[in-house]
Amino acid sequence: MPISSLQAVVSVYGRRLVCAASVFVAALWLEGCAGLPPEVTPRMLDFSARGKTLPDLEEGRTVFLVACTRCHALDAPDKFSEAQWRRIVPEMAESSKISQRAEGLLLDYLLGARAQLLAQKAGRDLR
Amino acid sequence: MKASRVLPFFVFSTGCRAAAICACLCLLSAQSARASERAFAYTYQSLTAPVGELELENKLTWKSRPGQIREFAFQHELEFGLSEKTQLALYVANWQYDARERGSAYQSSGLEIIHNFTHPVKDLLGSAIYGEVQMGDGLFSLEGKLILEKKFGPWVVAWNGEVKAEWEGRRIGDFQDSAGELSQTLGVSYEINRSLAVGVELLQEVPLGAWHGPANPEWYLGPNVTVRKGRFYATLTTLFQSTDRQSAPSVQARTIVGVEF
Repeated sequence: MPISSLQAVVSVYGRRLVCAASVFVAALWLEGCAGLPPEVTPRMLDFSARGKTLPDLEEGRTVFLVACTRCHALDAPDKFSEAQWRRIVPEMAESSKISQRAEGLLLDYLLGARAQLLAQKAGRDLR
Repeated sequence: MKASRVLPFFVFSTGCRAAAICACLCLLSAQSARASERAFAYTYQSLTAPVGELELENKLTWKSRPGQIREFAFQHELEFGLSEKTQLALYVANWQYDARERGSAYQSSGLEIIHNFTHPVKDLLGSAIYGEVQMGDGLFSLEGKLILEKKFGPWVVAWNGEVKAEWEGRRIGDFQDSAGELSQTLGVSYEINRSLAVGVELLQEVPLGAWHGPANPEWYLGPNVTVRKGRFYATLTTLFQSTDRQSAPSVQARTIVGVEF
């Protein structure tokens, strides 16, 4: 009975279902593009380890986008405290098999992005 | 009832099965994820295993045809991350259990390679190509896929377009019969938490017979669930035929259980 019901629904509402699915995917696309982690800005350098450069942070963001999404959806950098990120990143780095250098760059980016997001939320000017 | 002696799980009442599955999902969803799992049972995704990672995948496909004919196909696969963008897999053994004859038979072994081109989050659209070759007892097959995927936060949408050619005969070099198949799959999955994702999969199969022309397509649609815990993951999709082809399976289900080393 469930199969014949499914056949009936598909035959009657097939085109509408395809249209609804297309609108849904388009909405997801827009939401997904808007929901990417923050772009690297010079302000983030203020919150990163000494000697780090903008290209380093860019590389850290790429590691975040590429390595982490292999297994799960991304969390916003300000979802966890600095101490939590310092615990989570080495743990995840081990399972995703990224290098120590990539792990360091990832942590730098996350802490920089986190601080910037928190400052923005607090409405403060970082400079 | 013959099949029930083989897999006693199928004789449990629907309520018992649902309760058991819910209990397992709740238990697993309390744990954190680590495995680089697949979100779908039928649809491949564009990302490959990290360099040096070895993963064992066990796949079971169950098909129920009219007349209570039930087939169980098993596949044991070792996946290896060759480079950042290329993954190789060895099909150690594909074999089938026929519930009617109560017997199993080895079918084939093979190789699979997936090469990723673009990333589903970093780039506009993730993409990869897939190639597979299988050889067995009087069987040779080639399969190619185009894989497209996009990840939107907790949502994953993936599409595969596939062409498959199969030859059968008594020995290599003397294959008599050939057949082909075009198919496409679409999967949508939502990650509820790190350990649990749910979604739907759509499958369209177009058998080409002896390459004389396309037959009527068969459409399947059904739910999908993926659970993960540590280095383990499991995904299950049950598909119901939404067309009315009596010769094709009315219901089919596939589960993949994987562990990474």
